[in-house]
Amino acid sequence: MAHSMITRRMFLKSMVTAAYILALPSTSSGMDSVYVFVIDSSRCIGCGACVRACRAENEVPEEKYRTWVERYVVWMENGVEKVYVESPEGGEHGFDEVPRPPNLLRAYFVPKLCMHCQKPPCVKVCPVNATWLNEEGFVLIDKDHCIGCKYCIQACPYGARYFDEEKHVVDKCTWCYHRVKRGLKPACVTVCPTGARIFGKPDDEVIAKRLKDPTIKILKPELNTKPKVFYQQIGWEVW
Amino acid sequence: MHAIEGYVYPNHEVFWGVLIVVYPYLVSIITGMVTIYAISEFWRKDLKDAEKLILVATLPFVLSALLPLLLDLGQPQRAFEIYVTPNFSSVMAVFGIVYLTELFTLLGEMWFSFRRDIVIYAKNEGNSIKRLVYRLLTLGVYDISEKSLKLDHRIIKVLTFIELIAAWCLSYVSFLFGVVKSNPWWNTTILPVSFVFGGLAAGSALVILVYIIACKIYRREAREKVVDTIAYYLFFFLLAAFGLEMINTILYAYKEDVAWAVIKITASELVIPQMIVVIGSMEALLFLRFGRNLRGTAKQVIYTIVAISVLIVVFAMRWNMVIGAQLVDYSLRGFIGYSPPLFGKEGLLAAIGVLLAPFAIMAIVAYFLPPFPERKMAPSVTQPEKHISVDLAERV
Repeated sequence: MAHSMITRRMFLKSMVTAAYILALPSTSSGMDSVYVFVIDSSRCIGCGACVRACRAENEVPEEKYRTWVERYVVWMENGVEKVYVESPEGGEHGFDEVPRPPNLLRAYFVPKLCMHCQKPPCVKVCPVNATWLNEEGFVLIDKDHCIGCKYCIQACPYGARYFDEEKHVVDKCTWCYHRVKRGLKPACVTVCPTGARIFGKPDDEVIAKRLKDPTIKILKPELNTKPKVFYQQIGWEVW
Repeated sequence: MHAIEGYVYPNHEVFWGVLIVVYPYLVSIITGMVTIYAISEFWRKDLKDAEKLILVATLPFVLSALLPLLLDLGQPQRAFEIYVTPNFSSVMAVFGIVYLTELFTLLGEMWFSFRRDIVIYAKNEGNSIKRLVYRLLTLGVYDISEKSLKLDHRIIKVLTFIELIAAWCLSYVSFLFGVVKSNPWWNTTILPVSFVFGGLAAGSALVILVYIIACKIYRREAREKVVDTIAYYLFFFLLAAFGLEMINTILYAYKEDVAWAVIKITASELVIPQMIVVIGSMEALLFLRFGRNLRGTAKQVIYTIVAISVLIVVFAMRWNMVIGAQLVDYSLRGFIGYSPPLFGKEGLLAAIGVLLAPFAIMAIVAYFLPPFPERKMAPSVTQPEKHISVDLAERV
């Protein structure tokens, strides 16, 4: 009988082992199990195909945007960098030419969309848990549960959310979750003629290579929202 | 479509309109009124004359506090979800719980404060419907002996303490805005504190106003000691609120960070409310300082002007905080304009309706629970009921 008894040492050892096993899934299901978005700004030509595709795919109401494209023009004036930013109709119909300023330093397009933050402030403030971050890293909204308080819109630092005036609820980019679940890429990624938008998991070969670029940036890092959209080839003026 | 200056994100607009200005405004007023009641209950016995009136005036504001929020919701029929599936990391969800605490402690406080009156009315009221209402309000408890009234008073003290905490927590509804780190106007440490003091000032001002008006309606003399005492507190509350608002702006202007560049130009959209805050505060502080030297009607007129000024000033502060901050785009490169629509559930008329609702409810509450029962009312059931009837008849 004495042999079958559990000693204190054995008990503690098994508890530590059990705790380790329990902790294991959470450590191994880190960033590698979630999706990320990489945008190579140098490839974006500002054609607006992504904005149009998004509207068609997700029935986005007029004058609201799940994704949009911004144009940045930076020039030097008295030793100070001046910045001009525009996004006419969200860049949906492309951009008109702008006069070239003297001492032009750089000009480029930057697609914007929901950052699907790993610490999403929108999720934190929703009073009824109608928006949440799922295991695959998508921040989603249950439109049948949303009370339309618009608090999440206020909390989003990236202006990614909008109020759907017809349905009286909040809506935003889902990275085309419905398509991804069917093994497809988001609509904007699919239609981009230059491959400026790249979607996948961090360990995908193309994405892994891009993420190693030391100039890669996230927007508004000081807010500690841990966004999962990574930008290549953008200047300090993009936030 | 609102006017746009500079670059703003394409989805940007003023999502919380005039109703969400009214919402923290009503909450502010509640904090101030409850605080004055607590001061009366715990420290300043010279405010006793206004105690019941404060309760009668506070309840309508608490009942109306959720109205603007409900009107602003896209799906108001789902509002109760805040209690069913609450997200406790959301200030709004926590606010729902604090609100219920505030409501129930206030109802309890009122019941214990008016219990003696209710029992007397239930036994002597001539109108059968009113009598039925009073009988229901007694909750079947008719014991108004000295011993039970003493116990009532002890319970009132406990409830007042809980209510005071709840009211102050309620006033921290400003956290609703303060936690939005992406908005530079809201994301300041001073905001919640200045909000509380603004609320204390508005609530005190409303108590003075309601007291002076109620005394006129009930044809009784407004006691100078009451208005002087509240005015004394009001002076310091307003000074703190105004001072903190100014410090916040000066700090911002001095630091001149990225956000200030756009806040500075957005301020052009807020010239009128800003001027109301500055001129109104200084005028009210000046009148409060010298008002106490006056006597009789002159004092009442000055305090009435002060009370109205403070209520307008605090409303302007709330306007600047709620609307002003939303004018600034999160890109920090531009701003938009805002003028509220006149009609519709988020319009000016709806907001005015919500602001007036507490006064309509106040008339109903005061009808059933008169805030100034005469001293002659029977002190306990030990006295013959015949006498009670006579006393009540005299009062009427």
